[in-house]
Amino acid sequence: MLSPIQVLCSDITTLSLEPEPFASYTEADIISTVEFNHTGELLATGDKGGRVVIFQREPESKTEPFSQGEYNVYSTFQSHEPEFDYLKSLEIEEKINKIRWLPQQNAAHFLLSTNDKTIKLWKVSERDKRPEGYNLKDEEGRIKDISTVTSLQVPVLMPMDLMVEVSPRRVFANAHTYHVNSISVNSDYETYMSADDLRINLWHLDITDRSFNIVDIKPANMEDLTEVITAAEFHPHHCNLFVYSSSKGTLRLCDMREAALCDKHSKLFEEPEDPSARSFFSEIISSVSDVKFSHSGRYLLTRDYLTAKVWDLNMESKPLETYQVHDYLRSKLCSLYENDCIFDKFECAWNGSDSVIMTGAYNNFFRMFDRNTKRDVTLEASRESSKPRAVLKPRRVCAAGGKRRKDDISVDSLDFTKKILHTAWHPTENIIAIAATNNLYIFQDKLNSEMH
Amino acid sequence: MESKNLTVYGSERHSCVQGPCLTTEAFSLKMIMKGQKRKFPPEDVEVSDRSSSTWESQRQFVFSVSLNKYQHGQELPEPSLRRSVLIANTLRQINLQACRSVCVDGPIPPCSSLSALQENEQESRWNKVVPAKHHSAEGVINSDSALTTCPVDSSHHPSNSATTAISSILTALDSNIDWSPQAAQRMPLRSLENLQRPSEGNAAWAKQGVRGYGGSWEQQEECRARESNMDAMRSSYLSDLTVEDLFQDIDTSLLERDMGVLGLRGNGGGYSGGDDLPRYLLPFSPSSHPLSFSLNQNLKCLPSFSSFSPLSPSVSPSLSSPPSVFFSGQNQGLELEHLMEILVES
Repeated sequence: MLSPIQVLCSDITTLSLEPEPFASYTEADIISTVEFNHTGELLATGDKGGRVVIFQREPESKTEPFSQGEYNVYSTFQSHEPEFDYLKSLEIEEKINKIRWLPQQNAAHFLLSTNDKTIKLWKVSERDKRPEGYNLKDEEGRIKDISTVTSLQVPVLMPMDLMVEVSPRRVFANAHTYHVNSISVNSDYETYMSADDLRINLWHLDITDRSFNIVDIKPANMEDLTEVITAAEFHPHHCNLFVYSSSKGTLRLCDMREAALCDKHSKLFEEPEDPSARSFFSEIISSVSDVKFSHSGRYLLTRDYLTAKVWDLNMESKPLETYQVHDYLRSKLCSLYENDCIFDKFECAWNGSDSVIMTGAYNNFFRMFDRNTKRDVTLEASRESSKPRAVLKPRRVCAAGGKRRKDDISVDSLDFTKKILHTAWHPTENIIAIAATNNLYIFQDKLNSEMH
Repeated sequence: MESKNLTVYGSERHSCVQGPCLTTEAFSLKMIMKGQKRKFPPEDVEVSDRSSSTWESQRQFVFSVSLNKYQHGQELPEPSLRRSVLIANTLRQINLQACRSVCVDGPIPPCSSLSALQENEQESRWNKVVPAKHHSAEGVINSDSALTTCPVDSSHHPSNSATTAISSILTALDSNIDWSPQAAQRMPLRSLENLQRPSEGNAAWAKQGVRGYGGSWEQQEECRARESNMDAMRSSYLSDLTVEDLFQDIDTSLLERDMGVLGLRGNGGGYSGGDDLPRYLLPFSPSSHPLSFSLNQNLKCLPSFSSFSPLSPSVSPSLSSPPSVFFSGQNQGLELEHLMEILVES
């Protein structure tokens, strides 16, 4: 199976890193989503400028053992363009909110990418041969003079330099009044859902002109609105089950077999509030920013502002485990509310065996928690500490006024503009992708790389 | 050795952050929003003691920051619904705590039990506070139940500084808010959505009439009277939706403001106001006769937005006066007819 966690914590090797170092970056380069495909061979990132960059893992090479496992750019394309909604006089951002890969069924790869309003299905295919030896055209494509043609030949396919072609196959538009925050492909490989702030729609991958609305929490009077949908995901194995999270910290598991409109949940996961910990910001920090099913389908991982929680699908009353991601911020909530950081939406990820969970924090820190040994580690994704092949050093944040060791960071010197919102874990191996603003970091377990 | 590094540092943290940390710390610049001056130094640790002045100042600080945030959020080219909802809920929460703290201080015992009741209420029972774009300032004083069940006269309580602070902030904001047409048109969908279910929509308008008081405790009596009128009105609304479908395309937000300027009041009581607006806009049928009289009646039912809109500041001070229909006389009715015809034709 996978490498044990203790090795992962102390020996993290960095692999291929970010693109050319720029002195300053444009806002369009900020990475807004990261996603591995189902085999882990491809890694897609979307940015604020509407572009998608796909990285491919280099295959094992006997001659160059260290190049194995490096991710190199495979393809880049513009997925979404900025649009203007003339009816409401609003700009529609081209920022890619989510990318989800479809399971591979033939030689081509398919992915869904979405901005606030429109979901697109892209086909990524390779071309490494081309036909040569036409009768009517010469090598450059010019029409031949017929009188020079004396004999006929059959065109043959000759190898050529690998070319990656990306083409839009479907555009699923005009189904969302509010901003799309999640998409999730169903395990039936035929349907997928898209969730915005108030509604969730079910689509068939082949049908673009209509979708089914399966959840609608919009109140009759918008002024009664107190809760929005923040994330949604299909169950990895049961094609009828899905979960969606809300801004009030609740999770709802819905069964599509029960009714056409799944407003009524099958299960409601909610942790009762601790009255002693109540503050003005209790509700804001309880808002769930991401929800992920475990690979087994038995557990749910949720992220709210200060914690990551693991829920058992069979227990609705409280989470199975709660992990404090950056509890030192609890006393700073007022300032974080002022500077809007309290509204940041962090994502979370499971490892392949569901034994470790990972999520991002501020100051380019990210955290990993081992569910079995209850150990955790804080690591930093930054240029200075991430030279290729370097081993990442665990970091520590010390609350102000406390004992401070060397290399500890004080809470007050954390950089809140450097936030790691998007992380992804390889489906089977201990390889993680971390998006830090405009940079992508890929880390691999050292033991993992030595084994190959 | 390794395990030490990997210990959940939380256990050590508890030993660090102990003892009162009420003094303001020197925050790093990164934590402060760019260019914003702080009115109150935010205390770091939430003070659980509700009656202390520190908690009070914290509450007021969060309140003012929230109001600012909400307005800024609405003015953005792309307002985030999640953010707006969270800020609105925070404001609601603050106000509820404010009311509760006042009630607890008061000599009237029923208040405390009522405030406890309020605590147990579902959130959906609370009347909407802020999300409406028109009412971000005034709407902050929420749930009529909060107002009516805590009949505390401000003159009797020196510890009412909180509520007076709130009302002063609100009145200041009232005059300062820039209600440019763009702010109104920014989300035209909202008014359309409300219009689609006018029965609920009118109920909302009726409730908003209560909210327009801006937290003045002296007007509790009118508040309660108005609320009972609202209840009567609400119960008599018919939910005839057939006509509304025809008028979904018409953005009536401007119309409503115009109505407000003409000084209409929404306290007819007992009128079936559910589909008044579409009925009113119809080409006049022989059954509605005489025309001006029916107009009078229908218009009475449309609550006025002027009570919360600085567009017609002259109207708002008359909140305390008994509701009346300014609109009278055939001439004005004909003018309005004309206006409606133009709207329908366009």
